[in-house]
Amino acid sequence: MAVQAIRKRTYLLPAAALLSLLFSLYLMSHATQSSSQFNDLFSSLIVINIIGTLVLFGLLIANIRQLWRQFKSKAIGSRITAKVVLLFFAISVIPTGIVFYFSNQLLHQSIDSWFDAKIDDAVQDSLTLSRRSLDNRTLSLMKETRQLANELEDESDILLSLILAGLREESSAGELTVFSKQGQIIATTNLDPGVLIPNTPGSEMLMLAKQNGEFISLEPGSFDGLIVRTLIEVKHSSPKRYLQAIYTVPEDLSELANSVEDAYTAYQEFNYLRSSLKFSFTLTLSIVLMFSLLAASWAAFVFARELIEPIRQLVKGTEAVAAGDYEKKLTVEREDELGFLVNSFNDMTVRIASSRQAANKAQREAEDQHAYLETILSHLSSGVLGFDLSLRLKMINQGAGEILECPLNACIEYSLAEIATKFPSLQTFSALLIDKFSSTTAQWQHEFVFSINHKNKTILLKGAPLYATDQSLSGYVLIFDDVTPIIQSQRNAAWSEVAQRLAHEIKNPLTPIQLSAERLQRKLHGKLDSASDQLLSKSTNTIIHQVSAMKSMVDDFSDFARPPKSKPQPIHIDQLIDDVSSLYRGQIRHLKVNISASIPTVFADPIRLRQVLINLIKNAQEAIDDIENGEVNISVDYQKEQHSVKICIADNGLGVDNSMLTQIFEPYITSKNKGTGLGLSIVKKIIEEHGGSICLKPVEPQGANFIIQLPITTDKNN
Amino acid sequence: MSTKHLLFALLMLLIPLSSLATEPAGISIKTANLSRQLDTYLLNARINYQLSEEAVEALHNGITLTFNVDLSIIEPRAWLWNKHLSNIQLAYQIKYHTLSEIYQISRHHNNTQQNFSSLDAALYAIGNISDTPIHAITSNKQASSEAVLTAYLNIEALPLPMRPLAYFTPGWHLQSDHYLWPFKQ
Repeated sequence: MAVQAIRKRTYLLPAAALLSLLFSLYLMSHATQSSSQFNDLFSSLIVINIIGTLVLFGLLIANIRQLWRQFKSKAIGSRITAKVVLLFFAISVIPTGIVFYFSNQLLHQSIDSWFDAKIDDAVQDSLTLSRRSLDNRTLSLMKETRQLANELEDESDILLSLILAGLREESSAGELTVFSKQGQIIATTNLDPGVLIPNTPGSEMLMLAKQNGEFISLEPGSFDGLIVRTLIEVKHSSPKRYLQAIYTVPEDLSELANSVEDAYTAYQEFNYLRSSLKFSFTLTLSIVLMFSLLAASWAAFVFARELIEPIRQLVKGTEAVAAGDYEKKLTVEREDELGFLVNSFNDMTVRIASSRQAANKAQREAEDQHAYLETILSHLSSGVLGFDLSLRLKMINQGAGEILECPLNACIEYSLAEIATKFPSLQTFSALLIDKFSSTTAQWQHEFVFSINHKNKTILLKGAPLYATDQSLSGYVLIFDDVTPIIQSQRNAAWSEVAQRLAHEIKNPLTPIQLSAERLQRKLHGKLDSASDQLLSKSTNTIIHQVSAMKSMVDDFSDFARPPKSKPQPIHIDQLIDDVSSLYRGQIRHLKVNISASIPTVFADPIRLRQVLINLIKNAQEAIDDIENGEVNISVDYQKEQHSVKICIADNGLGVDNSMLTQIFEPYITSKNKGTGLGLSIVKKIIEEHGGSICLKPVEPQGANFIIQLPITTDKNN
Repeated sequence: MSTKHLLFALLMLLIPLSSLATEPAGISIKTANLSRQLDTYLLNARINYQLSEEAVEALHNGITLTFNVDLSIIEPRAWLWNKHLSNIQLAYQIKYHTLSEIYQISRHHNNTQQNFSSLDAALYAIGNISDTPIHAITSNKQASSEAVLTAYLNIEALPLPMRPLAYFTPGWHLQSDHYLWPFKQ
């Protein structure tokens, strides 16, 4: 049994990929929060999600192309798939699009609402305030540094370290350092004795100090606090020396300044990042939107495919069943309604298959029965005709055609009237059947004599109605037999009996009559006067001749009634005809003998066959006696198809009246003035004894043609 | 102010302006070498940083810029990609302090900070790598190896919202070519 399996797809891998992508989207969303631990992965996550979205897009495009091809080729299920996908897409795109639009708008508006001109000004003002506050302090510190530098005027480099230490203790500076013009440290002192390397100024700071004579800057310190760096040229120093003083801004002030600066920086950074922030959120939302739409569309394809697959299989199965493949079986592992449908389909095909098998079996049996009946009917010698209720021919067997000598096989579905029109010889036969079947629905029997092909036939008809299984009349059947041979043989038997009795009864007194006449002639010869003697002689001669004639006639009767035993043997029929015809060459002026080449030998009694030939040639000779230019034609042909030899003996005499054509071979039927009328009967009897047939056909414009068909049998047993 | 001082001041003003006007944004490595002192290799390099307008704007808006200097010791191979024997990364950050209007650079590898009153000075400072000890250098003594130095602006160190756009903005793609020189044991 052909099993069509519905493949069960595994969507674990795609589902896992989708979930991974979803998780990646979640991570990306989480990463947008500044404090997220996934912050560093943001770019990678974007790339992963964009690639994932592109892969989904590619999958979707491939699916759409495949669907389009299926749709164009009107593949099974393509329309439903398209509808499901469009429905899914419409269902997902509308709400998702709305959510996307409003989320994006809300996000942009929220980000914009964080910034305000007043807050801008306030933040800027607070920074300015801080600067002003610190500026005053740095200016005072610069002044202090100038005083310290004045203390160093004209001091040698050797003493600078000692002087600096004293100055630092006197001042508020945390670190004092003297640099050369090239930036080399000449001397330094620090509040923290652990600090060995001083906080060196940048080269550009030193350059500005050289350029302007002094430099001051507020800087973030090593720790969270602020420092003030002052750099001033030591006057009257040779070579040039520069004093750098580092002051630490008080901690509370540093904290406040840092706080203001941090807030300002954060606000400024946030403001600067505003467009980038919007872009990032929009990008994230867009990727989520695209992912949702693509995933929904792809899921729609998956769902539609899953939904359609059993239906597709069912359609294929139905087509297979429609095409006659009832062995089609679908397998399904689904438990839903579609699975139930497929199982029902399988049940249906099983039932159809079993019904079909039963029907096939019944049909085979019916065909066997039909063939059986056909064989029987075709081998029946009886004729069988079947008609429907409108007397149209429905069935005919071979025997019917042979008996009626009409190709009735070509008349199936013909009405009896149409058959009568087509075959005029069957007019009376058709009329009888119409009359019989129309008048009664009971069985009937009728003996019918009709002439066909110049032969009289007697057939015994039996008609019967046909009933269907519901006992309703469905037609008629006619069975008939050709009883002509039976009647003929009965007639022959009767004639034989009559001839035998006649021969016996007549022949017995003939011999005494003849002997008595001869005795009278012998005893009375010379004893009577001449007149009486002549009368006696004439009378006795007449008696003797008539008795001889009667004896001859009785012998003929005797031959007809009890022919001599046949002694068949293989003979060359052409040679026999040549011999017989040579006897009449002198007597018949125009005797033509035409014998085909290679006539096979026949198994026959040469004496009796010679009797037949002589009888027929003699008949022909007598027929042309009174005819000028009378001629006799003898022809012999080998009929390979019938496996017989055809002997024709034709003359152009007066011929036989049409009314006698069918009776000419019966005893005592003759068209001649003289003769017993037994000659042709004996001929027919001899031919039939050899298994052959003889018929008489008229010749146009006049004459008769005796046609003998002799079967070729080389074996006596055949 | 003397004439000499005035000319010097003008020159100092013109130098950064001319450099901004002529030199395109980018990073280029002028010189680089590794010298060995006892068991330690010392890196000396001169890297020229020229920030793009986007980077300068971001810096002045409070964004901290991070520059990475990657030093690799590679073993060139004819048919395969180069074998990396050592990879060392030096990170430099530059930040602008609004209140003090100072550029502060931080060197992560030695936890030092420096303040500069001008951006050029700060960039010059991070571009001047002088005797920076490089530990953990390994090399294949059997094969000839090369040192590769690359400097670039680390986009991934930018604030998160800036990164996607930075990847698509040429102004943020600041990266030097590979600077190769034979590495001698």
